[in-house]
Amino acid sequence: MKKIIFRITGFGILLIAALALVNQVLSFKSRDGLYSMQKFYEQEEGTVDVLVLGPSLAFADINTAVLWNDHGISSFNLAGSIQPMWNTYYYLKEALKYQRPKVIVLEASLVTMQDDYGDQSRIIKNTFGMRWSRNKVEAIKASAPKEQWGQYLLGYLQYHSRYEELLSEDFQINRGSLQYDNWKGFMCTTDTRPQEANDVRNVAKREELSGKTEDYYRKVIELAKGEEIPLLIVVAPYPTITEWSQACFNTASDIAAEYQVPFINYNLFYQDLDLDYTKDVSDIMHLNYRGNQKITRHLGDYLVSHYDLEDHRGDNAYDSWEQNSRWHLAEIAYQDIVNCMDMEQMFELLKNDDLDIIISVDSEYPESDGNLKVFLSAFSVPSDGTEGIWHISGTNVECIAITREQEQVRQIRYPYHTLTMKAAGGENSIFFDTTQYKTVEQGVNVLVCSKTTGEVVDSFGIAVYGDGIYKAERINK
Amino acid sequence: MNIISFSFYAAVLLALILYYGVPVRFRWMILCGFSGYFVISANGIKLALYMLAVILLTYAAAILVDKYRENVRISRAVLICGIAADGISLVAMKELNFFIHGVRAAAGIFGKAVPLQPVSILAPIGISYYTLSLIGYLVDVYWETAKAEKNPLKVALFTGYFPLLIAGPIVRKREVFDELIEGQKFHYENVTFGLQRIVWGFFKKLVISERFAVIVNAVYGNYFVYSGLYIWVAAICFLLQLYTDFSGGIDICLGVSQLFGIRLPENFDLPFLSRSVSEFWRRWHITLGGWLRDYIYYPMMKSNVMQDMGAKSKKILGKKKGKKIPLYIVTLVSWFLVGFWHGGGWNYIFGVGLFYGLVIIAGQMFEPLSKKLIKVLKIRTECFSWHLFQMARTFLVLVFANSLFRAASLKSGFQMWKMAFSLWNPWIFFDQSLYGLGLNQTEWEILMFGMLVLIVCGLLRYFLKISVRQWLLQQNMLFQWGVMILLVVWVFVYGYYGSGYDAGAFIYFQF
Repeated sequence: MKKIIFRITGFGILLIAALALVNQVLSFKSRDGLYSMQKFYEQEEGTVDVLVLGPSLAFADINTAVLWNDHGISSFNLAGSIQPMWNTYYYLKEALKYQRPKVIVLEASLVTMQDDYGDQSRIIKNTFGMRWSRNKVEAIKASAPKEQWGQYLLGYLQYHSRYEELLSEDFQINRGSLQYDNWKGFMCTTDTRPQEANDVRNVAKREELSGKTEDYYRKVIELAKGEEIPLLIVVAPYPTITEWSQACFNTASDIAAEYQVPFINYNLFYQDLDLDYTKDVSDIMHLNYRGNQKITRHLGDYLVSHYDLEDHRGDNAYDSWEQNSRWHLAEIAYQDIVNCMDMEQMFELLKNDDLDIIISVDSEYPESDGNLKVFLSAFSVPSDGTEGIWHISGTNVECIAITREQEQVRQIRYPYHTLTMKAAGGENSIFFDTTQYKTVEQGVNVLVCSKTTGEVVDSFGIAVYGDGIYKAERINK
Repeated sequence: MNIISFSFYAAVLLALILYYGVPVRFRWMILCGFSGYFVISANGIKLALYMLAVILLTYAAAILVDKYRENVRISRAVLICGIAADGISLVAMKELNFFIHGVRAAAGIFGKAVPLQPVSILAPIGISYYTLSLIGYLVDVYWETAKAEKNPLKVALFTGYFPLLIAGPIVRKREVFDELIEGQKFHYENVTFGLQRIVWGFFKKLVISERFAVIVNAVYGNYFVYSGLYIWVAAICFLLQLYTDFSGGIDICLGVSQLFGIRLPENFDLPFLSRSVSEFWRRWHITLGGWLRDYIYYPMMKSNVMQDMGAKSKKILGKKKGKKIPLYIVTLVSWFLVGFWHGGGWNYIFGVGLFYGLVIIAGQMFEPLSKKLIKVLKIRTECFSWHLFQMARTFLVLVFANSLFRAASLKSGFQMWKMAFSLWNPWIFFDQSLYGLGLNQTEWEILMFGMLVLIVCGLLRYFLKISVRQWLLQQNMLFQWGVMILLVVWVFVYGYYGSGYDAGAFIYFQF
């Protein structure tokens, strides 16, 4: 009998281990909602001072890096796209089991939600990140019709068929990016898509909120009140706001006033923050890297002036906020390089110790090509027509390979990626992981990587007899 | 209760704990209780009572047959009444609309309207299986090949044992009664073999059958859009879907039963390696074929009516041809009943019934000609190539017949075959058109790989007499575990289930 028990137990353990491994690989890894909750659980207890809740406007517009960098505020965006108020409520309930923030910020643009249930992907994003708990069960029950509870409670049923869409991030810790090592739930958008603004400053009417939304909106407020944690309700600015939405926000503001909770609707004074919807938005709803800094600076000032928030900068216990801030601020700063098409300006922008600049001289060029000579001279790379690959880091210029000589392969390893430079058979190649970067065939190719982000910042080329910088988009056009 | 649901296996686990937890002599009661729970949860209390009433009626008839054995007239009358009651209970629940449609159509010929409307009746789960078992039991008691059971619960258990109600097999008293009633001791091998069988069934059903179903549903659902080789592909896919679905369901049921130490009769034996339609039906749905042979075919052949008919036809047609007339009639009646058992529609009656009967009769009629042809052409018949030809020929017959079975009606089935020959479009195998039937390249690869595994296991058994399960048992424990875990993970990852799929419905559940 002992033998049988041993066999059954042994087999059971191995089977469960195998299935757990498969489950881990196949599970959804979306950073939207899901991953923010998973990373929230990893935060040291008692470190999150400001907890930001809400839909995508919360995770895209409120910049945790700026709050830290400007004021030393340790904040976390626990948000998911189109997060209905009931999911916000259960996220808050779950979050309060692990952290006791000094301020809760609720981004309330989803008080406009009229449906009783979100779509399938939003239900998943706003519940699957939660650990097994009563809150998770309740959140699923609130999120989906009764007949669908089973398929959300047994999450595996939803994602077991992901075998066709698995990526490297499904197999790597922290999704294979330095960004997520110390992530605080902020997702920066770097696109710029100009929008026309709707002016709703004069809308005074009130619109009734949907029953379920209002019920949970009040529950969020009452939960914060019950826990005696100050609540700040904000509505992030977005250009496509309608009069009807503004009327809903007016109602939400009235309800907040009932509970003496401050309510800031940025749509009513976004111009005062110097927000420009022709430059500061990435789409019809979200602020980009320029816009989110502007609104976050205002929010940060408001928070430090109205609440008792400690400046944690310099405190080792909060090093993850420092790292997170560095990553995002670097990403934002490097947008200037991404957008730069001027050679002179590029020289200045690339003078940065954080950057690894790989210059590959891919063909002989005539003496008369001034552009190339100027570019190479600026980085102290021989401008005598020698073909090869050079690595520039700060003031250090290193020749990696001379093309005509024997085969040379060199690698620079980042925490999650590898940069490979190879010169062989009269040809140079630069790979970041398995992606080859070569913008021009005849001339100089440049790859710029950041030590802080561990990612590619930009790549461009200067063609023989070209008229400046070539980027992939320009060539494609 | 769905046999691929968590709730089913949670209930089975509970039943196993109770089964092996009580003394051996009481174990049948646990099975009886759990089968009752299964029936009630699947049918609701009213249908469960209906099922119980039919079982009790047969039980009582068997007692009476046994009691009045000396009086042949009474025992025969009771037998006929019992069979009629069982038959009517099945037909009334399953095929009433067939007769309603028939009466309406007949009346229509004479320009009359009959105030009869088709009805929607929910039949008890497994009615087609347990009714045949009950009839078989009654006949066996009459023939004295089985004893009449005094305890009605024991009769209820052997006919309503829960793994039998899902997709069969159709059992006879002598096959399972003793094993069920005596109670089985715990054997590790039974549990491992049972679990292996269940996982293998899941593999067939969820990894293979459900993928075939995507293609089949796409074409059969819009058959008027497709033509040429699309129809052939869908028809072949349906035959393979049917096999993996049905045999997968049977594997699960046999596996679950084996967990309790009870071995149920096999229902499949590599049917696609059959060299004739008759052989196919000895390898496919074995228990149905056996039941018909023992309780319909042979008794009819031996009946006075057929004997008289044989004598008369010999006089008219001569000895050689005349003796075959009763054989053909009995064959057609038997195959009609097979088709009718599958469903009261002409696509069932013809597609899985009469068509096979006609093929078998045609085979017998043309046998002399075929032999002559083989002799003249000097064809070697004791070699692999001839056997392969016979298998391919049988397979084609099956593809055609089962496509009629799958079609919405007999008319649309024939319409499909008309379209199958209307266009020669081999490019669909090269220009990725097949991916338009709902499975992309990856899904096709998973399907083909699954089929390859199935075929290799089948061929190993057929040619080398190697049972993969037995072979696995001879390996080191870690290797056995590894293979099992691999199979479980395979089903977990590549199975078609969960959101958006309805894998719970087995084709043979409806019978």
